Amino acid sequence: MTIKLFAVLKEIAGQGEIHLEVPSVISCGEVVSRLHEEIPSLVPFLEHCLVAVNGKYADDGASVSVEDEVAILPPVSGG
Amino acid sequence: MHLVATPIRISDLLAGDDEFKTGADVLFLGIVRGDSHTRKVLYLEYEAYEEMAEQILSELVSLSYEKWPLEEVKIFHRLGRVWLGQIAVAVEVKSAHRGEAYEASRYLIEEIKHRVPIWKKEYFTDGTSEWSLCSHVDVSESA
Repeated sequence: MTIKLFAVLKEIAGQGEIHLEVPSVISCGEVVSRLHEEIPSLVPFLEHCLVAVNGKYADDGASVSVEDEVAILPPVSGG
Repeated sequence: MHLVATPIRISDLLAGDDEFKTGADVLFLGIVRGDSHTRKVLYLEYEAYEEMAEQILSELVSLSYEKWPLEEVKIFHRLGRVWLGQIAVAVEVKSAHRGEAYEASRYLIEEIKHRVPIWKKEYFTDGTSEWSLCSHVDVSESA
């Protein structure tokens, strides 16, 4: 599964996308937990982030599959 | 397209209404300020999840037409580096009367600040920089 990272997350990870090996179906919360393991330096920031699936905000319990576009979004600061 | 990588100009806004249905034209401009709390800002850099941001901005425009009788709505938001005094965001709302234009304008800028996946990094005159962590969207209300 490819996970998009933005802003502070992208900067810390050093990349805008990360590939994770995950089960064929997984919850958004589990995706975030996998990211914790993969990039521990993101942990302090991830608790403030939201997950988007195919361009829509999704809650932790929402299921995602490897075909979905999953993005982790820090608190927004536009305007 | 609402997200733009080049300066937002007033000439992109405030166009005339050939049918003369517009009685009120409310223009909100968000401008880059020189201070952030106690620190001096040199410039900002904006980044977006562009596909999602464009989608939400289009939905917000559609929603505003549903909520108020508006003639025209325009939203532009900058990406990339924006210097002090430059326009970071522009929201223009035209309607027959001022009430709905003011309400829609306020609604749109608040929604932009809270829901649209755009991020601002502040670069300060002392050489430091910092991602601005401002707002949280409520997922339960974002559907």
